[in-house]
Amino acid sequence: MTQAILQRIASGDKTAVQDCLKSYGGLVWSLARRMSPNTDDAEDAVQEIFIDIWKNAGRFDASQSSETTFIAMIARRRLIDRLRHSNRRLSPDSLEDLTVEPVNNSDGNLQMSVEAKEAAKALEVLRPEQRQVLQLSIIQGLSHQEISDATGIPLGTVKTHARRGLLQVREFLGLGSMNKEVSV
Amino acid sequence: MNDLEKQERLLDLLTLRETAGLGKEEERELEELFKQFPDWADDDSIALTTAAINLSMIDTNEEMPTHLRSKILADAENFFGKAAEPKGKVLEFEPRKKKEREAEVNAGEGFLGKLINTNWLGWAVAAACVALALNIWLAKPVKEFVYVPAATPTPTPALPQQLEQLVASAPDLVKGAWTDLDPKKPQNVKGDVVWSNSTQKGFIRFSNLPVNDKTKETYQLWIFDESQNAKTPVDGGVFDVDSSGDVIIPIDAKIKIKKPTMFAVTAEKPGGVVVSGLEKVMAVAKVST
Repeated sequence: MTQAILQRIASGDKTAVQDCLKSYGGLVWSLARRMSPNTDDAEDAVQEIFIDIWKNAGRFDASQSSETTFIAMIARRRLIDRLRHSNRRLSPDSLEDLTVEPVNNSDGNLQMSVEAKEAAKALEVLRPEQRQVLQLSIIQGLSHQEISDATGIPLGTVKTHARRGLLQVREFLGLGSMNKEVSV
Repeated sequence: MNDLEKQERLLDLLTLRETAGLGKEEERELEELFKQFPDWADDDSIALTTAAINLSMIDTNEEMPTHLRSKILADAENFFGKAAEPKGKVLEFEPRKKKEREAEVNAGEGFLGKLINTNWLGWAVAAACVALALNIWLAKPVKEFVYVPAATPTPTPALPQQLEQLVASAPDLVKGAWTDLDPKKPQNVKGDVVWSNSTQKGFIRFSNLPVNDKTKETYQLWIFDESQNAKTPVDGGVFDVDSSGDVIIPIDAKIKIKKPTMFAVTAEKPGGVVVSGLEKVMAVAKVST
């Protein structure tokens, strides 16, 4: 019954917190580890993200996305905000931190969300340059200017690739609404 | 700027907001554009799209540490306790940061710390408070969010054992031996790399990679994947070499690897780089199964 977790939290059901952690703890932790300079920072970020999830649980719309993607969106927003207020690069200590493996717990395996599977399919049909720009911006968190500097692609073209690529994937996922379409 | 250009700018800013984040000036610009295109103000479709793409590129099966889970459950107790207060005002709750907690302990601050730091009267008061608190605690019912670990944590094996376990258990292990990129400029680095796609885990091993001056440079691993442009290999993590003995480093691929074709180690500025100029390549290892 994972689909009901956020609705249960929004209605004040405290027992849903355990279920939320069990279902999405690994997801949030994975994102935080990749988008934080070190393990201490990732742990602080995860605590903040779960507070954000509880505050925003009522905004979840099951007709628009899965809970997995919604929670990943909340997590990314917090992590991006934290990165903007700190040095974005991973420190050399981070590799040492990674050698400390978490202990086993009873978390079930998180299945890739429906949207993630669809997004993977959509990425396959994008032009390689579009895919590259999206990867550098979404995974590495690079600005358009930084991507341009790193790849040699002109800034205007980077923006176009990012915009068109995202809109194509968004359309593939069925997230676009007709009255908001733009010509790209 | 005509309407089409404004919409394109709006989308650029929305994309930036969900990837690198916006500066103050860009936030203001976006707010202005929302006034002209109000349908976009509460739209999460770009954010959900980037989240879905992110999820499609990484392994999300990592397990959260047990102590962090306990902290979150404690946060939940505070959050939902506060949220239940019938005050009708905006409730803000911020989890306490680890460094803040540590600093407080080190400085002897905090409720108990301040008591202890006063004088003998403080000691007497502290003892009375502790006795009272203990009495109250023993008398109260068990809290709803107390987390009890299911079992004693298993100690993490040392890196050589982790490497051995991976080699023994991974059915899809690929290997490579470090060689010089340019035989005319030999670095004479010895060692190998192992990688398992199914577990997305791997290790690099060196016997004579030179000790690096951390203040000037760091080593960085790069993974060339069949699905990636060769100009932008996947970042496999940064590391330093402190001694001239054998070194084993776990690979930390920043995105999911589909089919690695080659690994490379470069020397980069401290902290590493996002895209390497491959100016100082220490060694490369082509993959063999």
